[in-house]
Amino acid sequence: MRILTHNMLCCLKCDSFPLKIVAVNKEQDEQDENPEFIKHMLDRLDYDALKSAAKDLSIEGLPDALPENVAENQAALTSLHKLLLEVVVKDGELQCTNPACNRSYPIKQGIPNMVLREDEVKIKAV
Amino acid sequence: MLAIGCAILGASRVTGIDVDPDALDVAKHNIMECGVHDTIDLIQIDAQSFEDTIKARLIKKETDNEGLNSNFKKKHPKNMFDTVVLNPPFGTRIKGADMQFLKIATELTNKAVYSLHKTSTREFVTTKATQWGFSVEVVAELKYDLEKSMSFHKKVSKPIEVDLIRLTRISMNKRIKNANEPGVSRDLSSQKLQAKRVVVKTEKKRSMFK
Repeated sequence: MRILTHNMLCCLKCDSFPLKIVAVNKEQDEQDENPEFIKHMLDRLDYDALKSAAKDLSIEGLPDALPENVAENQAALTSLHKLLLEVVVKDGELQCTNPACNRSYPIKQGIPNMVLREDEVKIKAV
Repeated sequence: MLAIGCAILGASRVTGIDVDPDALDVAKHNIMECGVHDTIDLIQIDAQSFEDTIKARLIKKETDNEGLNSNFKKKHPKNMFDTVVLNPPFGTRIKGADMQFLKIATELTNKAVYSLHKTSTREFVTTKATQWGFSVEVVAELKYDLEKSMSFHKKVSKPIEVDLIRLTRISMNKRIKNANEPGVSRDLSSQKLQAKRVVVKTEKKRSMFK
């Protein structure tokens, strides 16, 4: 699971977002930069969730807010690339931070398992 | 398999989802074999839950933005995906499952959906997709030779005609506007309810570009 993927996952029981990452085994998977893609994703990302992921993985140096001119800021684009696409959580879990829920979702061989048990499937109030 | 195709054909990033861990194991193996592991992330999840999580996140983003100073207020946050590719179940026990998958796909995409449907249902699919704000184009006509794969299939092998279709979003505003009106989003969740009961157990392979 890459951090870009973490950026779109909510708790399926209570919609809590973002999920806390507990990484048992993670790696850095270097790859070619694609600044166009990062720019393309800028207004789709949730920056708070990104900060929370970085904190969970003890990655430091993220500014409190995304700089305004980030699309022209090569260094910022490179940092985002590294964080979003190169960090891979191989094993661990995603934890819901809502104390009333506390559901955790295991990550095995890089794949988060988000499947709820039958008795957990919520019927949403209409 | 669809995810690998997307990656090879040049999608920048691909997210592949399936509810079946065995299918994901095979996918993982194939992804390594094809050398496209850089581009693809896999998630074990059913399509309905995936729609739920993507929507819950979007709603949260919109709510957050409301609290900010108007100078910082972003326009409506965009969906994560530009293209959704799916091979929905058809000819299975559950009638209409293919349309439920297609509906979910249209909810997830900013731009386009590619899907496979029985040619005999083309008119119905076109009518529905038009109602959802998409234009429909048949990209290819295929012939499937389905082996007798389910116990309730009556014939041993029955070739069926299948369309590969492309849906293109005509108006983005419509969806975004709807998502922003609480009344309408409640309607959406009631639709979800109906879909959820059947879709959870009938998940098929599905992948998407970003």
